[in-house]
Amino acid sequence: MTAISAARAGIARHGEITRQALRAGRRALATWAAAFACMIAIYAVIWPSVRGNTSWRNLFDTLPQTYRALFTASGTIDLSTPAGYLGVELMGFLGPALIAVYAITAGSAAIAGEEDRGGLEVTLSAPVSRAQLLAQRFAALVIAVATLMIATGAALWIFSAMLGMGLGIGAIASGAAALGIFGLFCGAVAVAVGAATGSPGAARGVASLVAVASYLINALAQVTSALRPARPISPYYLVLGNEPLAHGLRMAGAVSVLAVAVALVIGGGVLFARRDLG
Amino acid sequence: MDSREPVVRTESLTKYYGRVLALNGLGLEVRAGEVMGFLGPNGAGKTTTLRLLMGYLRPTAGSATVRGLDTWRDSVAVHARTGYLPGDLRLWPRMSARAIAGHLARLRGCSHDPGTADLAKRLDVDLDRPVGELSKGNRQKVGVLLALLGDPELLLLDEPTSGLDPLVQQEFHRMLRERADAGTAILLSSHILSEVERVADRVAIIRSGRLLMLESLAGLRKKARHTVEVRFGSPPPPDAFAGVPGITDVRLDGSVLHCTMQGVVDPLIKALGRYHVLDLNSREADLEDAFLALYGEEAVQ
Repeated sequence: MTAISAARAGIARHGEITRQALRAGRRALATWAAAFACMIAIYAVIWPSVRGNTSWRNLFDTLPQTYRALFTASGTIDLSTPAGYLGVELMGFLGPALIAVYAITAGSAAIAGEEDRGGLEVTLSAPVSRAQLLAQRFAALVIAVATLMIATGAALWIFSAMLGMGLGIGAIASGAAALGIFGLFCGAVAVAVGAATGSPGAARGVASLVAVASYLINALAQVTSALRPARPISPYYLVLGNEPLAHGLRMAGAVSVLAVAVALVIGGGVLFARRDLG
Repeated sequence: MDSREPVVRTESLTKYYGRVLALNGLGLEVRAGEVMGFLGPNGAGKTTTLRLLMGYLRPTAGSATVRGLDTWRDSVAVHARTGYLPGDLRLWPRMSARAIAGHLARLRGCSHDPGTADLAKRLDVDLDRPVGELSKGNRQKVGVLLALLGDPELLLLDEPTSGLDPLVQQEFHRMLRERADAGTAILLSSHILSEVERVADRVAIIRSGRLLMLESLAGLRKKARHTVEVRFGSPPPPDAFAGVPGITDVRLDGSVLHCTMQGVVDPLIKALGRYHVLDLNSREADLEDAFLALYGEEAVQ
């Protein structure tokens, strides 16, 4: 093989598994993107009626601190601004929950799901290392989550403009990025556990547990002093705890959550390379 | 590299699943240009061996190499030389055979079409329908096509003809013969003796994780047993067939003789010629019987 054809072979291989994974998952991804856009549309359409409705706002104000902590990332509720309203409705619970469900589903399928159905043997019959496979499948997950968040951001931007919500592009980007990073973290846990164990059930279970725990730690830390020291280890708190739609993305939190996600995938990859395929 | 060097070599290859012994000290060589039939009942360790050779499993003890490359540590380099058909083939159901072949070709670094159309024609594969819509046999043909893609120098085929109709099997066997004649080393597992007989140069028989025997096909034929049933016009004397060479398990039921024959048929024919034969039935013992009979004691241990 000449150097040129070897280089060409390298380029042909480069990213092929990622492209294949995205091709295989494109329908699901399109459906999810549409679902996110619909969710944004519904919240946006309701916004004008919320803005003028002071009694609902008062109701929220009378809720006990625990309830408010569960509804929102930071415990403060300001329904008078679009960012505050969406912070409660979109960023507090449903947004992170949905993106986590998507990322955990896709992440557990990336290695463990396919291995469980016996599909990995065909891919790995090609000259591809397990580390390569894992890295490229994880890259596909990153691209898919980013795509979802771009769709979400675009929907936010369009409806904000249509309904005069006045959300800035920076605020929208921060909110979408924060949701995406949280989702990606949950997905990375699923990828890593799936790669390490080969069990899609374990991947989904552990990742869901981590997602829920990270949400609950943030919420309960606001009302229980015993849990307060644990709050900074919650990925939910680190990326969503400051209401990024209103106050921007906290870079330190975002970078550390992403770093842990990548470290988990690398750790999963090390175990993946050492074990028997199921 | 010397072409007489074996392409595949396993030494004391052993695999435990937890505490269950799946493969026990397998020593096997497959040379370039030969079809090695890998024969044994289900659960004997055939699939375990092939998955060890693919580096999907890590040997508990012993080693396996392909062209000197360790199958566990150098699995990527091994895969570059190997075409593999898994015993339990699972493909992406929504993709067509053409798309899957293209995907694997790109993973192998081929930018051009490596003969997909040609293979598809010979195997009668529908390249354009999603493989999920194909029958089991047609899906198996896709698997065979994927394994043969790009002319690998080693083929590891796990029960390749399961589900294939006889005509396609014949064509497939012809293709294997051509590949072998062109220097490809082929290891083909099966639990059916007649299939291996048609295509293999040598046969390795495995049972309960142990290699029972390694034979050329001619040697296997010599050892193959037939159960013979002969009906006579009148009952022959009770000891008429006692000393005939190659004949065992003689049982005379009035005018019907039951026996087992091994090797050359001539002595039996000569012995039968002295009597009036109405009917003669000879059936090749199936594999299970054959090696249970031959290696019964060892298999029990």
